[in-house]
Amino acid sequence: MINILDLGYGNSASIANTLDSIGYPYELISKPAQLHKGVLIIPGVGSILAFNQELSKKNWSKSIKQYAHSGNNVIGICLGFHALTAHSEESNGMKCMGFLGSSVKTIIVDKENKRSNTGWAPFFISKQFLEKAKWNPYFGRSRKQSLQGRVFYNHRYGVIASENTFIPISEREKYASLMIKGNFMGIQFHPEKSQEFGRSILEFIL
Amino acid sequence: MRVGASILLINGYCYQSYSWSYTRPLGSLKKVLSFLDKYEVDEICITRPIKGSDNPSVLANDLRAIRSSSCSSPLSFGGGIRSLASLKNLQQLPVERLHFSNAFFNMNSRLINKVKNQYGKQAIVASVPVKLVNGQLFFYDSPAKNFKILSNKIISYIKDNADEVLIIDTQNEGINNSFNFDILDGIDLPLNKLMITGGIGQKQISFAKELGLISCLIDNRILHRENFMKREL
Repeated sequence: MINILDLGYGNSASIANTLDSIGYPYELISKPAQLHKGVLIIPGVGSILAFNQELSKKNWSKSIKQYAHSGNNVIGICLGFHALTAHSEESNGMKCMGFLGSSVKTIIVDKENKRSNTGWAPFFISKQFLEKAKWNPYFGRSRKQSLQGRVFYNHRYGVIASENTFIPISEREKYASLMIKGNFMGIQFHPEKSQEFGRSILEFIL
Repeated sequence: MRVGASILLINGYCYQSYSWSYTRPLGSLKKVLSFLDKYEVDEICITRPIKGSDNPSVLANDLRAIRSSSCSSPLSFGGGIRSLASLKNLQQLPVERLHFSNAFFNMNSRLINKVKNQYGKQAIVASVPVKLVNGQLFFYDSPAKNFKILSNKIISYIKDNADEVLIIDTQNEGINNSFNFDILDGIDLPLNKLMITGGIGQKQISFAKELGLISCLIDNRILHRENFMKREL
């Protein structure tokens, strides 16, 4: 079962729609007690301050840690990815859950022009990469060896690529497009808004 | 540069607009989005053209229509988000970005800051419907239903608070290859923050690319000349 953490933000609905279209079982959940074995997707559109406040209200951090330690996969998307890092520069600096390692931080992408990274960029991922990162897809339905296409980004803050296994953002190599540590995966782009290629990515990692 | 589509949403149905005055029906939002999704356009901008006061039940219908669509392309939405109360209605809306006109023209910092905190600045687009008359730029004030002078103060407020700015050429909307680039001379905003719509054709797209604009939204030939659009994209 895929659990989609639903804190009332828009893209939980988009992720649910996408999973519907590719035929994966899912449930939108809002309390830790509702977690099912399998995969937890932490979507996120918005600011880290509001998002972290919502996570703290129900003590999600502890539950997510336990869930991953029990062998389940956790995938954070965009702001959900930032929430998995140790610290975010957003909202005047904020401590986050830190599941991707204590050195993994979120910083502003374009400090000089204060612009977001909104648009499409090329993306490549292979089975070899997932094996190297020891990522075991829960469903493992995809038989593809690699995927190449374009993905949609919409963010002002990005995760600094670290010692973890990661794929950098094309032409912004300093920032991670996808990062894995243990059972945690962070994705900066929006697979649910990356059309047919986004659906293939979800099938590849789920 | 992104190349997307711009559509109007009126009571759950999509329309194409001409010169800010006439509309042509395109069908239900669900169908329109499913076609545009199939074409893999770079983004889709949904606008509710509110002239005067908004009707809450129509807004609720429109939001319901967006919620029930299953679109896997990037979506942005605007039209009728004028207060903190209307912001509450947007929960669970499957859009990445929100467009604001009135909030920028009135420099409504309470609303803009609330959106920044709730959705992040990357989600804020200033939508500026304009007309150029004798070198003077006017914006459309939708509650007042008329055009007013676009002041430097408003432009500066937009510059500070919007992530990107959508310039709508109201005089050339719906007309092929007619977007008036002179409009951009009157707006002191960085070109790489600007999106344009209103009379977008192949020539406009090429020129916008040369200028370094961030996005062109095709407003005409949406769906009723699908093959033409497909070639263009």
